[in-house]
Amino acid sequence: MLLQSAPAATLERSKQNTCPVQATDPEQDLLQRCLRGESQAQFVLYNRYVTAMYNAAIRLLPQAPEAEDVVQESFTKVFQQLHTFRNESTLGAWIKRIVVNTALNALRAKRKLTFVELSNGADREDEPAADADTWDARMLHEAIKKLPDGCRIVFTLFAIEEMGHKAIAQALDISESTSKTQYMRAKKLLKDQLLKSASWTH
Amino acid sequence: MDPLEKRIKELHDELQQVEQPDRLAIWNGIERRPALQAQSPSRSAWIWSAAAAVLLLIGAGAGFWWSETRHHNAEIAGLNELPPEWQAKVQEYQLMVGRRENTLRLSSPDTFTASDEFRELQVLDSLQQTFLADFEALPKDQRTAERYLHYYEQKMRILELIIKEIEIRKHEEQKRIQRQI
Repeated sequence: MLLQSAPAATLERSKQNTCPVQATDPEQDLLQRCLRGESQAQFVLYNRYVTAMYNAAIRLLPQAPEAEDVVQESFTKVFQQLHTFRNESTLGAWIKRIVVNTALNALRAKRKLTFVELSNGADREDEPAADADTWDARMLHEAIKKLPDGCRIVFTLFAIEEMGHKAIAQALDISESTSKTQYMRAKKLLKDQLLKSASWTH
Repeated sequence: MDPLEKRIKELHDELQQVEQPDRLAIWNGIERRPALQAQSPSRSAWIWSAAAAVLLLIGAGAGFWWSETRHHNAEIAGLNELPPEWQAKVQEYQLMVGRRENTLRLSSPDTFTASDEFRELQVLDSLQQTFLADFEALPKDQRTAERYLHYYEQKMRILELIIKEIEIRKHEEQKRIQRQI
């Protein structure tokens, strides 16, 4: 494995035990080993988080090769920037932030994001879907992937990645109200789609 | 909170695991990224020792690897807990993998042939070990069965690559001998 290790200064800090990452438990020990550039440790870390990161990426970029590229690029950044991780969030949340940012950059680079305006009344709350309990994770995941770009991204960031509308608006360079209406639209489309697929299966 | 939002919250953890990536392909891609291949002097010793270890491992003989591989094949922890139709599929794949392993054994590969593929196979087996370690805690459903099957699909792909590489080597060797005659 030929991944770039942490800068020498960081390694020096870690030797002096002043690095914010302290070797106190297995996860911290793993981080220390990754900081030293140990390939096996990098592989263990990758293996621990790759599935969650891939699922986040593919909901933002529903084509598998694009999502795989994003995951590759993200883990590359993770190993390069691990010395900047300060334990202010969990490691998983830190990696997820890198994945989301990388995916959004890829989306911006590859295509212009369009946020289709809503017709009057389309952003009103729907009747609650009665059989939501029958929707499983696979159904929801597939339905989200089928949403149009703009509202899929807003929905994923808000409902699954738990970002606020303000943060989403900043990340996507849209207004907060656009973020909110896109979210409403996504919910409506999702419910329609899920109800339709449920009626096919019954 | 509306029912959709509530359901998403309930399934939050499952939604992180619903789709299985091709872990090996992504990892290989990470390793191949040129920006990451710059090596600091302090790492070169490790790289050399790792390369030596890999060669030693391969050089220790395909025989050892065969026995390990067969051990992995025999290790079908919890297979009986999968839905019957998936058990049948896994067994079918195991047979196909077994046939390819036999073909490969008869070919008696030398230690350096297809070393990249042998290494890929080792990574694949290590991933499968992680999966088997977690197997007990996983739901015995179609998704888990698909992951089980994915290992054998990948293994078949790699074994076929190795067999092909050996055939090419043999063909080249025959041509070289003919030229000498």
